[in-house]
Amino acid sequence: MAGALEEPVLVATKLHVPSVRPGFVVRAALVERLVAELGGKLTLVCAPAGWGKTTLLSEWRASPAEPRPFAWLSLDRGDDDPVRFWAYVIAALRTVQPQLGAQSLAQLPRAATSLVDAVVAPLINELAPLEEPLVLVLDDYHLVRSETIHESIAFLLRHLPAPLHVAIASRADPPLALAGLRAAGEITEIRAADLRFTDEEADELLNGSLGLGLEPGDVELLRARTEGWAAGLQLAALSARPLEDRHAYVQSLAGDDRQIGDYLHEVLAEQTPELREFLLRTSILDRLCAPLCDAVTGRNDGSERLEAVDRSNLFLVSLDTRREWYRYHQLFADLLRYELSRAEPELASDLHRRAAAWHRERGNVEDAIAHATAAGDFAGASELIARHWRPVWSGGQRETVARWIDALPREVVLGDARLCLARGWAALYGDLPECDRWRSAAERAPLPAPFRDGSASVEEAVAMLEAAHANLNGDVGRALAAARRALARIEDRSSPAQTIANVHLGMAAYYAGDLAAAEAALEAASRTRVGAEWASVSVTALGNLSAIQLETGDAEQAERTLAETERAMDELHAHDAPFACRAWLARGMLCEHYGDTAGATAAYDQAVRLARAITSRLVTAHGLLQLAALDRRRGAHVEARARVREARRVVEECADPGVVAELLTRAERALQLAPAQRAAGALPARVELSERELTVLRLLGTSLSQREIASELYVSFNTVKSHTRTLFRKLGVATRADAVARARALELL
Amino acid sequence: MRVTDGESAAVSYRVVVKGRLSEHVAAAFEGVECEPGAGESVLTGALDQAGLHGLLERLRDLGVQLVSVNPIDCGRAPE
Repeated sequence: MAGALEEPVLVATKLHVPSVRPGFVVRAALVERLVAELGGKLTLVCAPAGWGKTTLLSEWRASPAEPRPFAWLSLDRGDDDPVRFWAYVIAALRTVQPQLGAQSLAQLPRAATSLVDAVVAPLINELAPLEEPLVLVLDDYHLVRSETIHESIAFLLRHLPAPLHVAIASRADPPLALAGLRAAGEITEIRAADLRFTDEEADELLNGSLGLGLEPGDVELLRARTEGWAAGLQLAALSARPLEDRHAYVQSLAGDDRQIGDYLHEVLAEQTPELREFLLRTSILDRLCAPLCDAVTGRNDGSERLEAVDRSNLFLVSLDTRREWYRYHQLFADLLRYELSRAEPELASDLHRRAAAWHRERGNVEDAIAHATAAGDFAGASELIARHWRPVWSGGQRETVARWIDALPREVVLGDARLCLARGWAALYGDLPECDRWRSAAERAPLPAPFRDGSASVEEAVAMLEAAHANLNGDVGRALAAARRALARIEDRSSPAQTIANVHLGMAAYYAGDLAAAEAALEAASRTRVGAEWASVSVTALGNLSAIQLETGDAEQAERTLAETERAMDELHAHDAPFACRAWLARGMLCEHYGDTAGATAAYDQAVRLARAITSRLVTAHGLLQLAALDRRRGAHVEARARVREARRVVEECADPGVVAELLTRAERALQLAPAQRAAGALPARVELSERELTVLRLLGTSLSQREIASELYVSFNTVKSHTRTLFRKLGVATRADAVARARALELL
Repeated sequence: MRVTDGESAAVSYRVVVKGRLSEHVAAAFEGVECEPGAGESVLTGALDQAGLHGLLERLRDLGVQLVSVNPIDCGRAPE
């Protein structure tokens, strides 16, 4: 699934452990420290670019004193998506233990917001009994911004299985709640200060590998000048290398406060014009191979050039054992890019276009989109996104879709209904109001090119998103209307769109109380076969259908339908998938029907938990009310009331809750929940206050105490207290300030 | 990206870094003026939050040491 975006070969480059280059200075003391950390959970190597983090970790792995195998993952910007991130982590772990993570991988696409339960916890259980310990390396962790990912890694660290040790290399301190681990002595930390080259190490680098033949005094000078920064030393040394009088040059650096960028400029100036041109042009690439370099430079000497760069110690890192893929050290690439934009500013766009074309031809969607965007080829990027967003979204990588679209200028997105819609779908499970705003934007947006995802028209696609949104948001009337609009627009009755529209219609009709219409729509939907990417839809449809069949009195049919639903859930590993909430609700209802209270409670609990994860309000409220009824029946009235109050809070967020509103009022009456005991914040529809009450209210808005108010009005203190209590009840508030504010809002004052 | 334009207004910032930023590196920061000094260099520019973080990140990635980041009061209260 992660491979759907990139060739397997490219995936392999992310898992490749960088080898220790001959000529690299081995940081023996540091490696010894890392090998010796026993009983620690985490090794954190935290320093800015160019201090030698990756090198240190690869030296640690290569050390003869370190017996454990390493599972290595080099992170990219694109891995900032929880589903993709964990797919790669599992892939990395599989380089050591090939059988690991099958269940987690299967559940990943549907995990949505229950990542920890569905993916991380099973993985931890699989790792725990392993006999051979191993190390998981996450390189360039600073590229991860997603809170979901941080939480899942923090969870992993809190419950770390004994055989696993985690090593993170990052340019910034990761937000992983490390204070606790630090206090418990579970972290081995290596920071910039630790990574500084000593004079001995500097000597080994400058006079050993680079053979500069410098005197000790000069070595010290360079070391001090660069403050022991590996990349700085390397670049300064490279700029000194071609000179006759290196001593004089090093001396001149002493009083100089030039920055690293100047050294690069000199190093570049020393290369042949052809090699310089090669370096600058290929700097736009995240990863390089000879054919790609040729495509970008427009020549056919990529192989030789790469070899030359490699030989010259020019910061080229090998990404596999076949000498096929490379990348530049991040720092070097950044500097090259700045140089390119300074020297030939118009060229970069063209180079990106060529790279985009090369990747597009090979089906590397992620890279193609990135380069098209960087080239300013927004039409090209839009086409790629329009074509590929749907399967990526269905595979659970919503944040990837969001990231692609967010990288485009706002005007471009608002000028393309397809992009607005995709962005709306990406927001559906996390931010309902934002999803609705995107739907609205899609309605107004033009369609500059045809749909590539199977949608027939803007009206149909917008109606579909609107129905999905309204069903989650608790607006039954709107969902019904939108689903019907979508159905009216669909010409191809056998298309997936028809099925999906019917499911939305069925779900909405169910909560609208029209069981006949709901059953018809859901039956129609369940009869057609949809592709794998819409399989989640059949679970929802069948689950809801089962509930309807039970409610219309056919328990046996309901059982059969539920069995079918659960078979589908098994196949899709969807038991913890949020969209299965309606299926769990149906299971609860069936259990209840057969008197299995315990089973019913568990099923309703699961339904509510999953429904909350995607803000499916009506299912949440419905589940809570079912649980409340069970509580009431066993005499647990306090719990029952609490659940009903919660259900009311949820229902109040719904613009049109349909029959759930009825269910709620019935439950409130059964538990004798008087209006005053409804959740504070409930705005009463009509409030009538007596003259007396109004008078008291006005005075409550002053700074007079209740005793003083009583004195003002020539009544007893108890009378004022009584009026105040009544006021609070009628206005649905609990404080004086709230009472006054609410009264003003209702224009009573 | 949100549908409606965010309210993060641009504020003028003064970023002081250690060392002299060469013109090569300074040119890389669009929309930002650079005054190279003896022991320190000063970058100034009108940036919104995203722009400021982007600038700081690029400085970090180039191994440039930060000394200070301050908003410049031009009669408008900084965010």
